[in-house]
Amino acid sequence: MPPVREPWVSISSLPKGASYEEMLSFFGIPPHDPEQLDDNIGSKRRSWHAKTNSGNPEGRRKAKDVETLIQRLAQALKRGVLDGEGGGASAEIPEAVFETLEELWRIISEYVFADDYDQALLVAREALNRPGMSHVAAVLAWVISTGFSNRAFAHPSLLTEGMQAAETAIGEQPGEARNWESRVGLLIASSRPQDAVDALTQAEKTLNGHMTGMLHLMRTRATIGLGRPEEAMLSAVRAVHTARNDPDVNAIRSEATELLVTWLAANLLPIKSPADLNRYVEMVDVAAWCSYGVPEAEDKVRVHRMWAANAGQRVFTGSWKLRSFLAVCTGFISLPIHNYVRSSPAWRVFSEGLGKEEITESFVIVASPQYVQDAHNVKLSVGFGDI
Amino acid sequence: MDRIFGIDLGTTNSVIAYTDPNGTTEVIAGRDGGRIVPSVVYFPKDGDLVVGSLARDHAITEPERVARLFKRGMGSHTFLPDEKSFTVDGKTWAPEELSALVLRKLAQMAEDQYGEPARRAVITVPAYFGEVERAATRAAGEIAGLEVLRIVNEPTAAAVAHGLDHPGEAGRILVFDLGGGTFDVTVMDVSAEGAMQVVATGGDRELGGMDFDELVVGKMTSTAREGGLDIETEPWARQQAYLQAEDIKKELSFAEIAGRSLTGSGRPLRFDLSRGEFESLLANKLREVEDTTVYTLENADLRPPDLRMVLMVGGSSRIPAFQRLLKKIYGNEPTFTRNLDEDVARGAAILAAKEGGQLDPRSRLARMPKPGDVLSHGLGITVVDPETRHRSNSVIVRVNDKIPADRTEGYETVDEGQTMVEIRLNQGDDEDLDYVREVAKGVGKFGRAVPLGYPITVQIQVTPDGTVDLFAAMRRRTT
Repeated sequence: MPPVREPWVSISSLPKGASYEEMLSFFGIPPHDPEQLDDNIGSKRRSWHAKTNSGNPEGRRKAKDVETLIQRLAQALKRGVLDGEGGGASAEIPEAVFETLEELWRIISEYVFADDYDQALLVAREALNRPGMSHVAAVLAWVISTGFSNRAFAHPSLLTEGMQAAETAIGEQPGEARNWESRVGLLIASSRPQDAVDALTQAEKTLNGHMTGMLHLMRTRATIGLGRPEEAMLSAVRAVHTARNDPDVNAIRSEATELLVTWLAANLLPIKSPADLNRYVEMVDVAAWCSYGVPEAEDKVRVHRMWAANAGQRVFTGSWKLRSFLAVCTGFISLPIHNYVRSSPAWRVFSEGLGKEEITESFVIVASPQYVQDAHNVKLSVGFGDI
Repeated sequence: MDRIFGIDLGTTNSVIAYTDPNGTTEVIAGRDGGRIVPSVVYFPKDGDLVVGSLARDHAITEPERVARLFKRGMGSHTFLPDEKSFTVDGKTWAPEELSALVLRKLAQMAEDQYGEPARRAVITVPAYFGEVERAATRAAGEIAGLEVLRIVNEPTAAAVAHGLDHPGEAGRILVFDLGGGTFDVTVMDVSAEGAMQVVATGGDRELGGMDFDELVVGKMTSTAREGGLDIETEPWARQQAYLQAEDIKKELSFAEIAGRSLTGSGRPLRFDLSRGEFESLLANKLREVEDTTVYTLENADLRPPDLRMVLMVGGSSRIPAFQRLLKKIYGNEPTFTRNLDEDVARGAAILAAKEGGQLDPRSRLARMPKPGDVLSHGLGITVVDPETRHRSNSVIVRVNDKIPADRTEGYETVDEGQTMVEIRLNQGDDEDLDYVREVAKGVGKFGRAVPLGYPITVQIQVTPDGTVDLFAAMRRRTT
């Protein structure tokens, strides 16, 4: 008899921007002691690795993704922690040759773009301790902030270190937008969205309104975190507009789209009222605009565009036999009126069909298209007569 | 009486052996003297198809006419990574048909050796193969004109060949079988009398020597690109790179450094790889092997100190990094079978002789009990929750349950007035249908409308060679 696995072992996802505690909880801490982190990582990884070898192709692909997530989180939880503050991944100090700040930025950027955060962090820390170099705190703050936004870092001690570096950098160069980006990024990573919004207001004043696309995008993320979708949509549009001529505009479009789509999928579906429908349609329109020209972002918003276009359409919910009878009896004169009276918006059919736990023909018509299921990300049992 | 042969139908190489009534086992050689037949088939434009070493040589010049590594696709429509079918001269070849060609070649070698047709065989498969792959292997044997007496797990055959079924010290043995395309871990209980019972099995059906070749080819490609050489565009250059990578991998088991001249569209370039670099490339694979090994032990509620011996089988076991890995897990030096490439076929031949009752009853082998096996994957059926309509897998026979197995579970209809049930048989132990594989389905009709909650029984039987029978019945077994 195989051993019974604990519930945390089977958890397969983590919210984007998950906190350090949420990441630990992904590995069963608590209820387990933090010292068991390595054992739990191994146990969870082995369990999911076994799933990559069984099941259907889709399940094997999913299991592979979870295994990759486990690997990334395991690294993030242990990476960059200084000696004496816990165990962790270590790396040799590289023989990085840099004489000027520009060279340091170039070397660090290369490490970060190669996903080598261990080396990037070590070089940045070494540069900070090197006498005669100025404005290095900005580099360290950027490395840590970028690492957190890419889930390469997770340990709280790194957040503190990054925040201190960002404060120093802003003190040295308040007019440098990248320093504000580091600070706001770290505030968001610390799950402090209101502080991030306040810092963005401060940044806007200091930069005389010359906000970067990235800063607008950060406001989108912070306001989404605060549950203020109107502001989030506005700043998403600003982010894309501001970055329209920048080389990273596609990344900003993609990120803005994902933020909006993730929020609307979690908060507006299934649609429960006409107000929900209006907001859903509006938000999907904004997300679609943000995604324009970026295929993977357009893919994310496509199913919602289709559902947004169809959710308000009226669907006949009355008796089809009666409809035919009335139509023939009245020479089809009553048909438009009868159709209107006995029909409901698709979202209502979908919502009430599920609510009553009965599957009507109208419900099947509304719910069975693949895009509706994809948009709601649920499996709907509409296969009559299967079992 | 017809001789019964033991066949190791491998991903990269295949071997046939025979055990005579006195218990002496012989590996059969072909006309060229080779006892190991590459599992490669070449389809020339004109003339008869070629199986074995010659076919392997053609992989460089005419890769589109050469089929290899098809064992990975057993039970599927194709073995090609891009999911396309393997088609030559307008004919599409399924993996079992290609395997049948290799089996036919092996049977021909046996016929040449003994001067009589080879008609009956025991064929080995990876322990982690499921029902579909086992059925496909059996079908391959039948296409080749062989009566397949039994499908035997490769680790079990290797353990038999190593003599673990002889009286000796009792204990638990872990068989680590890392071959060309698949990886198996099997834990066996061996009694002092030599009775062997598998207690746990695990594995990875897509991990083996060819994946390590792939890693070396990746390194070759990047090195070549840096040197201004392209070895990816031309199919022949890519095939040659794979063959060179395999040679380099083999050499690195004994040498600290190995290399070859790379050719392609550009000036030839020297490529050298050290053992250390090779092991760096293997890092992820090593972790996967470790995970699978430890998971199999965990699933059987075992710890490394519970093991008396770790037995390494399969050509890829020669790679020192895996030996060190096992030492790390087990705490002691692992043991090797006597002949890593031939012992599976030898074990299969011994089991074939026992299966066919051809051994001299006075011989020691004849007195040894047949090894017992377990199920490598659970088996269950799809069920629907009447409240939520959520579907899940209800496991009836669990992984590592001893076979033969016979289990029955009771279920109920979920709708009022149901006239039939659809039974979907799943392979796998997970409740989530994403992580199981549907292997068969059928419909059972009541012949009338039955009320909600009407009882149904489902019985699953697994025969000693892993064949699965499912019966569904109203109240009691009638179907």
